[in-house]
Amino acid sequence: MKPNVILLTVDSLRGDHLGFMGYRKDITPNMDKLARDSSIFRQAFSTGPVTPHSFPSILTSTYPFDYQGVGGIERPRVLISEVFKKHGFITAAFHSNPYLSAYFGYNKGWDYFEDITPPFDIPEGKIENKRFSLVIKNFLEDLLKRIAFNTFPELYFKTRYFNYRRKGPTGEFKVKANYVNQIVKDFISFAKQEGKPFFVWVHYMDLHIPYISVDKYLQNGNLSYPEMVCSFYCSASLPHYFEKKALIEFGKKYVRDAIQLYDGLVMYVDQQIGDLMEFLQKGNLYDTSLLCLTADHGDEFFEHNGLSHTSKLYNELLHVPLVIKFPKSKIKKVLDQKISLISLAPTICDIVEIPKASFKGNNLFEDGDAPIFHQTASGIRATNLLVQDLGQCKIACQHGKWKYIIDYGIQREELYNLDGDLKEQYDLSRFEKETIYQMRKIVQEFLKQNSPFSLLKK
Amino acid sequence: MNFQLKRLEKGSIYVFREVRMKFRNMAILWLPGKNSTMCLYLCRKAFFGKIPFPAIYIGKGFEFQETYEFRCRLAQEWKIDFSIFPAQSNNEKFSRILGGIEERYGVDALIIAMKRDESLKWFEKDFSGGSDYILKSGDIFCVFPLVFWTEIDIWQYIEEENIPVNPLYFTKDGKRYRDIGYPDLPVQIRSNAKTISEIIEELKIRHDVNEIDRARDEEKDIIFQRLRDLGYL
Repeated sequence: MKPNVILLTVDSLRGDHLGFMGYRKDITPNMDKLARDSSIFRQAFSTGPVTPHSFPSILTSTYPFDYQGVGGIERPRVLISEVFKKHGFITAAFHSNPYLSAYFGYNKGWDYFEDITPPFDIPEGKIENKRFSLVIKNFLEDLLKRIAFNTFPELYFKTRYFNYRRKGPTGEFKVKANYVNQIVKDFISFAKQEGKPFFVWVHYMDLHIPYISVDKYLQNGNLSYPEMVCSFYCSASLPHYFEKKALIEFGKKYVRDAIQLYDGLVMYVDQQIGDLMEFLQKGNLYDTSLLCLTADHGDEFFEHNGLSHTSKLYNELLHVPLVIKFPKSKIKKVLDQKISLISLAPTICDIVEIPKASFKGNNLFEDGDAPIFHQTASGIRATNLLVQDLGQCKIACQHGKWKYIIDYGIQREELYNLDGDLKEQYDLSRFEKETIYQMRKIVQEFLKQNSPFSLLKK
Repeated sequence: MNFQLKRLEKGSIYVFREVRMKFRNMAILWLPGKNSTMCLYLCRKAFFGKIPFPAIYIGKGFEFQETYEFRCRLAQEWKIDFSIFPAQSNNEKFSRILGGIEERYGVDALIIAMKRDESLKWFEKDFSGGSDYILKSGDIFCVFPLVFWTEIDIWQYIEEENIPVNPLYFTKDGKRYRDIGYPDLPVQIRSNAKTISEIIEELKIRHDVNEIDRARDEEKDIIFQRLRDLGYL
């Protein structure tokens, strides 16, 4: 019988905040243990810095802007679940990210597809008036931000915090990992009895902003002021990145708090992954299953003037962990070549020895030092999912020591030498004309092979 | 399945799983009506075909032959071992029954398949505190996974999922039962409905509400509201 496959993805998990990736704090003992039993890719990168620009590659091995973008996962994209189901696996997905919902087409090929949402998140009766109220609310919020937020960010957050203390929380944001785990354990217990191998994908949302636990936010109501700033800075400041120095300076004051909160959540997710590993061990499934752990993207802590993740193509947002534990095997490799998550799905298929469908990626263990590519929307907003013209795109390429970024919307190029400038702080595009020329050619060739407009009728 | 039903289904399944994490000893109450049967169905769906706690049936001394056969059918097809809790009389106060169940089975939470209007109608005075779907009555927590469903929602879901129902719901001599579950005594109404579709049509005419239309454009709004909550948009 084929081995079971367990794909664990953690939303917003940076590649460098894990012990086995060299993080100075010991906050991930369970993931470190998994890494010791596995092959590790120390230079794994997502195809995009936000969920809708990353998951198409993880689950369909295509680039996000193929076929005019990811308004919805549809043909010719094939989900890995469809491949596994076709080959006799019981397939199940458990997540709570709205970008991965049936609305965006991620529900194909799963015997069990659960977009876990707390009940009744939109109270009865509100829906009919929602369109109108949303328009008004958005307008007023935008007005408030434009006038007050840029000039007096401190005042804005103090007011927001005052309202929170006065009125209490306004919603429930995230489904906790222990809740997800309970469903996964129930599913695995069920699947074991069916006598068929299973493929289960589990996505944890705990690290996503806001950087606070649901318990603390909803039940205790004692969110501190820095926690409020760290959790809501990104959404509040989204339309104003790069515009106002005062706003950036204000945000930077809270970067330590943000990292502390984030690390606390990493520890929590690590505990939960440990709990799942223990469950697998008790059920004699740990050694015999293929386990993969990765993330859809990272998060930034003001490396490039922002908190959380938006449409930027710097490595704090693209560098992710990738751990692959082989079934019934002691294969443990530590690989340092740069690889893209577009090759994860075909690698999983190869290990389990089933055909790879029309996946674009290759086997990660056979990949050489080929260039890797990243895509996202031009500007900083993540919501641009459909591509009508190249002006809506931003593309990056990493090849050897060079990192090249081109924003077709504003016609801006950046070039970084990652050997000496790992944090991408010194743009060399004005000085390295020959390299820029070479990298531009590589991207143009990539666009020929992976045109967003390949399905358009000429 | 329309989006409204999917949303309700997801909400109910979430409640089942949440309370299982919160409470150590719990049970689900089964009454011979459609709500309870659908509740059992959703419970099995939440736990991949199993009901990981006891299912308790309140025996009232007398039951229709159809109800008895229906219970046997469910027990066999869904592999449920019903525990029968004997009620003292048809009019016994529900809070007393809850107390009896707590004492006999040692449960701290009981899942009850009641809609919001029903729970208010029957138990308002007995409850204290809680949330939208978990209320405390004495020392026992009552959980209502179906609290946001309407009667039409329930019938539509039953039809959609092909869930078995008590045959007493269908017409016999121009009459059929509308409510079969305890604590209400079975209520008969004039009806010619022989199928679930016909029951739904009757209900729509009665309420002059088209529940399907109400939900048509909601999916997009809700997804985008969730994205806003996460800081996008």
